[in-house]
Amino acid sequence: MDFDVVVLGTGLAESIAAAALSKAGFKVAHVDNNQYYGGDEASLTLDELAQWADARATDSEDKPTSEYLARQRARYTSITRSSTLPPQSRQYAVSLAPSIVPSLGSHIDSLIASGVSRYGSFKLLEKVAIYDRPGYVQSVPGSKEDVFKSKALSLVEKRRLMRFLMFAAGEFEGKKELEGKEQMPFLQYLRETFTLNDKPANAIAYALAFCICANDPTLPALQRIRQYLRSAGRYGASPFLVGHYGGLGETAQGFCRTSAVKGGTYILGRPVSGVKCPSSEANATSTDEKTPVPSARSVHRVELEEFDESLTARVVLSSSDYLPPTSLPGATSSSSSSIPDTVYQVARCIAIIDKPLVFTPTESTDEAPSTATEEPAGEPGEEADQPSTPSYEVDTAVLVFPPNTLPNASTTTAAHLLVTGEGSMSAPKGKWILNISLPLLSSASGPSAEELLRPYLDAALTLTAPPSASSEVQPAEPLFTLFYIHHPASAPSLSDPANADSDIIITPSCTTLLPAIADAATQNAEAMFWKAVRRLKGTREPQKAVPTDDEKGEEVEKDGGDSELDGIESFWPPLDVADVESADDW
Amino acid sequence: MHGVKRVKYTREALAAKKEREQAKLKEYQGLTAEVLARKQARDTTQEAFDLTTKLLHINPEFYTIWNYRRNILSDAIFPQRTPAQINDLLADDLSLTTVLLKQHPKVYWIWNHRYWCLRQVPEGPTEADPNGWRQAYWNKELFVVEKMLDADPRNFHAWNYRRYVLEEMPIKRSEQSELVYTKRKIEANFSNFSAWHQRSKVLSSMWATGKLDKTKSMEEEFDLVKNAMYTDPNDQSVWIYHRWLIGSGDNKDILEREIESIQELLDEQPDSKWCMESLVFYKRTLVGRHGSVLSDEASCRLEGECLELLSKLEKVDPDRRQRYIDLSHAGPHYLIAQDRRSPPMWEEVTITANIFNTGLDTYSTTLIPSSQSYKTPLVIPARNLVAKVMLDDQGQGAGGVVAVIRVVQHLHSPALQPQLVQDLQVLEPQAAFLGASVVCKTWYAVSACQYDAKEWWHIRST
Repeated sequence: MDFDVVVLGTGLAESIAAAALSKAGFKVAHVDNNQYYGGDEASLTLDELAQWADARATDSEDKPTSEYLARQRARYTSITRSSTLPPQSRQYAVSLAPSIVPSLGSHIDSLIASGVSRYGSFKLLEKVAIYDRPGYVQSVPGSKEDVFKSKALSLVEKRRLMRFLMFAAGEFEGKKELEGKEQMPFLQYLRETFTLNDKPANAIAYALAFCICANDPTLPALQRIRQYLRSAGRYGASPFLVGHYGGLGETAQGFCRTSAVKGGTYILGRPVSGVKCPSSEANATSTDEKTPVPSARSVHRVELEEFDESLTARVVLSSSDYLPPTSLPGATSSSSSSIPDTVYQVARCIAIIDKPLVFTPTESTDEAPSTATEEPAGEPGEEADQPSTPSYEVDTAVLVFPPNTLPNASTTTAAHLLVTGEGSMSAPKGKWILNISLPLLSSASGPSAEELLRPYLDAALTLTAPPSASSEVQPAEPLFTLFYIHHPASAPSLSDPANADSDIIITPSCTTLLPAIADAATQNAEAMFWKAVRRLKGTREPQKAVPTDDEKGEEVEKDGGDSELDGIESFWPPLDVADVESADDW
Repeated sequence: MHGVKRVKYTREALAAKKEREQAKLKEYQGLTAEVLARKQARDTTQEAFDLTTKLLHINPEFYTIWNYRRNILSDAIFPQRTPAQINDLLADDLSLTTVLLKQHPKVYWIWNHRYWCLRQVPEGPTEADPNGWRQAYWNKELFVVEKMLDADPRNFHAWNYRRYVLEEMPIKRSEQSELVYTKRKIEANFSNFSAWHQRSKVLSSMWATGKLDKTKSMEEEFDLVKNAMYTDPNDQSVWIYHRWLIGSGDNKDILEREIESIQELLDEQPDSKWCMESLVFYKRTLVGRHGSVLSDEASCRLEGECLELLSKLEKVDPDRRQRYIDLSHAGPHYLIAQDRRSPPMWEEVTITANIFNTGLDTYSTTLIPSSQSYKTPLVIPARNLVAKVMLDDQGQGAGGVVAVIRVVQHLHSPALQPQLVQDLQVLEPQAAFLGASVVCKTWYAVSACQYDAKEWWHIRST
């Protein structure tokens, strides 16, 4: 079967790229080893999750049934899980890549521009808070109103914090406050340039910028904060959206659906047995050592197990787990096949609980009720005075553990916990999914995922027995837990000169930062899309169009190279009228 | 507007759009002419009434038509109807204004009509329950106005209306609940004059009736407003509320405490216009209200600080420069030498004058060097006045004015004023000695103050 592009893996980036390529008029075949969509970002029911974990557990006796699975086993280690599943296990949608999506950013843009937004629905993230001590959280002052209302900050701290927030929301590039400090550790920057105390500085770094450790550089952290500050108010007070039914996995599936609507062919649950290119036809199977000879017009042959006819395509887009490392375009130079230093191993925990987390702000305990000699009369519709200890039962929220928050836990990196419940359609009524991520700075093997994350899970569970409840209330016991260490995929950078000439395009590694995954995957998808389009159209890499004086008044959006792309002007073509109308409903 | 898709029109579409607009315009003009003609003819028929409805839907700002509509209702329609029918008609008109207010929340005439309708509600439904209809409306009105304030919390029409509704309700709501309501609105966004204003109204009333302990709740208000000041010192509404809390400044302790707090904020945010302006206002209030218990040194220092702040204000808020200059001239008192120039490169020169026959105890002098730290104000015996003037070390100022010497005296008896003039004139030749000449000299008395005389010497360097 002949295609323009074969896409291997239905992870978010590959799915977005497949949708864009289909929409641009290319014939796309999209293959996944798994029975489900979403790859490493899939949303799984508990049954599927258990199977997923068992298939990857290294102590399992079976030999891996595919190359894909063998590579997955190397990337998901230290797996332990509860032996039994809670009832209604099929009513859960657990995300392998927990994420929150900023309301402004490339991911939302693509969701809207592609029309995929109408396949999905979202819930606003209710709250981001910092774990304080058993039973209590610290509020995160992320807006003027939060700062104004905060009882935890002194007046001077409020001023300094607001000054920082105004700075971070603005065009800070090139300002004197930032000059020469772009790479300074962000926490140090907050302390020195904005004279912020530890508490507000920690809140900014770990709960607004979602930094991983104290050494995260300043400029990217500021850029993230700006994006999130500006996102607030687009769909509601919170800057973040959480996808229903498990988030990114559902979204990836939506992009696949769009690709299919535009003629994409979908083949799930088929292991890839080989990827061959014509110049090495004689000896090439995916298991063999080989060095693909870059050939601009070669036709690749993708062979699937129990599938007589192979798929042929000029360009192959692939998640790195589908190809042997040596077949990767950059394999010759060892430096190019690497992981950016912002992408870490992550210890993960997935836990199911049957009591809600209650966020009780620690500062609210010393808030005195307002004084009035006249008691408010109990008229109907009367404004009730605020309770003296406001606490929030959360359904969809993030809990942040800065480094050094807990004894026996990480002193260097911050853990982020995403809780999702019925409100985001990811758990049955009265159940919640906790998704804890702890980045590991060193790749050396150390304690197991369970040892690393148990303190965080226990700390989070103390919030299920809030101070406002009677003393008999005990913290929730998880109904199910799964711990594992997630190793990032290793892939050459797309801009690496070593693979500039390749027709095999590998998805670059993606950050695991909760609010950054969706945008990063989308940007990767767009880069892969343009690379694929250029390979397919046989054009060279375009230069950035720089308007010169001669060209003034002329169309300078595209240079000569791009004009050969036969009318492919943008990542997403304009939506059809029908698309627009249904998009309005959303 | 944001988020609205820009529609591109083809030439034909544009022409069609224009045509539609023309047709609409024609219809409107025709309708206007007809309604006005009927008004002229005192037509009070149902037909005329319906036409006003139609016209007001198109243009709710046409207040003549609202008046005409009310005339029709009260002169022709109401007299022929039963109270229940009148009540129904008013319900219709209230929903008309609701619909229009949703589109035009800030049109006076719609609000006016709403007030009018509520005032017309007849007694009923029964003689036993004469307030039944009214109470039903009022409950609903509060709901309506809260919806309006949810849509735009700063709509002062809605706030005014809310006050009206609260006041007129046959069964009053507690003021405490209004306090809670305003706090909720302020917490949602404190940049809201109307919400603060409403709060000040409620508090005044509760303090007056003793429903709230003034001292204690005042402290809570200071705490609330200080949180807002520190969160966003650029927000004017907050400063105005603070000024309302300070009032006439009779409580010296509070005044001094607040000055200190604002000073701390200014230290954090050295370019804050509102901080500086408020400090000038409160420091002068302190001297004005409590000057009799302050030492001369303290009063002198305070005014010196005010002048320093005002000259900074000229720089951070150049649009109101003249206002700050006027304010610095309007200060109440004391001898000041002030640097009005930058960059500050000054050397000290001493002018010495011997002053006789004043019969006064002391002259107070103070120096405001341009550096951050103030020199200790000098209090010098009257017979040996020393005014230190700071002059530009280059001896020439680009703008001409290099120093302003202000001489003010405690003048307990107006009769002494002429003597003081004489005495101070002694300074003039001294300035000339320095190579400077006095270009402008003004005497004036500030009547309401206990310090009654002052003099300005603008010395131009030569």
